[in-house]
Amino acid sequence: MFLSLIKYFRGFLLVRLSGYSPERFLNLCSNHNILIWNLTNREGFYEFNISLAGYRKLKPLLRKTKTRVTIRKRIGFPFFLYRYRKRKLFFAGILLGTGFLLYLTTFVWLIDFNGNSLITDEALLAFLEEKGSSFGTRKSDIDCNALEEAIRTNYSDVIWASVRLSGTKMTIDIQENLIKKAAQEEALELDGAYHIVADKAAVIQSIMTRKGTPLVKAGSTVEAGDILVSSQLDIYNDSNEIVSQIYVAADADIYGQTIYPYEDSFPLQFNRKVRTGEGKNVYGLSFFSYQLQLPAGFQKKEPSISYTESRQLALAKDYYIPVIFEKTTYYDCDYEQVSLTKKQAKEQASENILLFLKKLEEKGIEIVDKNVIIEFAENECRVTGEITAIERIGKYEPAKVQEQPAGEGLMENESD
Amino acid sequence: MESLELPKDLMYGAVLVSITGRQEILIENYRGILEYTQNHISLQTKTCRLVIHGQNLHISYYTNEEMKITGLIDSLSYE
Repeated sequence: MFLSLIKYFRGFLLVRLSGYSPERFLNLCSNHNILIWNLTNREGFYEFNISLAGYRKLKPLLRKTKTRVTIRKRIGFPFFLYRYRKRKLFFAGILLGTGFLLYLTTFVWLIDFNGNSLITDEALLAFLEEKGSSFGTRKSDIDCNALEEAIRTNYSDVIWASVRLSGTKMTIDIQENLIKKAAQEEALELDGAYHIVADKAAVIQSIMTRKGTPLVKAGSTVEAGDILVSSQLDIYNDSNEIVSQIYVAADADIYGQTIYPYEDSFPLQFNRKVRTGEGKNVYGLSFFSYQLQLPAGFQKKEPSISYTESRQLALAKDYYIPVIFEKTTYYDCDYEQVSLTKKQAKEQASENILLFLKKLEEKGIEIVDKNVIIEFAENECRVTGEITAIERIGKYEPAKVQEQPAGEGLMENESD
Repeated sequence: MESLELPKDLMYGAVLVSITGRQEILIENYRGILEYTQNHISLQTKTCRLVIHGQNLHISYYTNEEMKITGLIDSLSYE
């Protein structure tokens, strides 16, 4: 296959050989390393294929063996060019087409995001749009370093970003901070007076204060907004009187027991689409807002299920062009009524709960207990319950600093 | 000589013939073509001549070292 392609591009001839000693001629050809293929013998003459370069070397051999060759057919790219040499527009079209494709490769036509789980592709795409680095931007207009910087500053969760351009594809790799920044680290960054307040109602499990005055103990119940650790530090003198107060950024590890309400309901009877017929394929090409569909004027029947596979066309690896090939398969279908038995409903319910718990655990919340009731009302399965969990609570809130005359007293004390 | 376990085609310069079914013959280590018609091909090798009889014999390609013949093969003989 590959070899015949090379032969085609070099060009070859089909020639007829006749004369005194053709066998001697054939042996001489192989001795001179002239490749001959598809050799056939007809009455009185031979026909074979020979490359253009080989043909040019034949003259002395022909004289030596007293044979003659006549060209029967010219095959290959060089002859193709010669035959169509007068069709200027045709060649202009080829040139223009190639030029257009090359021009298109100076733009970005595919953006690939890797590593983002909290930030959606759509959000990132909108952000790129805002920065003027979205689809169809000239590659030379994109400053990868600046874009990396912009992503990091705009999204605080992104701790590492890399933007690469290869071909017409822009690859954006992101590393998100999946573990919440350690409170200590956060506290270090804070400057000034901050309280730690409860971000939700909880029963305090443990509290370890590094800075500030703890206002709660293990076992105490707090509501959202309650101050857990105050930023105010009282300074006592020897006679146990408050001489002054200083304000710090409170810092503590506080774990509390929280309760998550759980609610879920789904119908026991519902309609589901079921495939009946064979699928019909519809192929389409879309180029920006232009769309081409085959077969044209296809009308889908309702109800139907459709699956669409879309692929962006590429000239070569990473050289994507803004043409998308789509294959949609439409299946005719019918509605089928499905009713779940109690057992199936329970399975469904527990599956949903496990999913919910998994999501909580992903956030670093430890599940201690779950208490769930499954009820069957008419045509509905209702699940209610409470999930008890232990998690880190508390958030920073700026504290109001009361300027007191006592503050000056501290200074005096220090200077003593 | 045998104990050296050298390939025989190298030692004697012998011709190698591989036949695929009735349609295809690949010949290596031949010296030249003596005669070629539609019904028989005779080749010179180092020690003997090789004659292939058949119908519609066609040489797919040949180089200095090897030759591939297709067609309906009737017989192969040494002379």
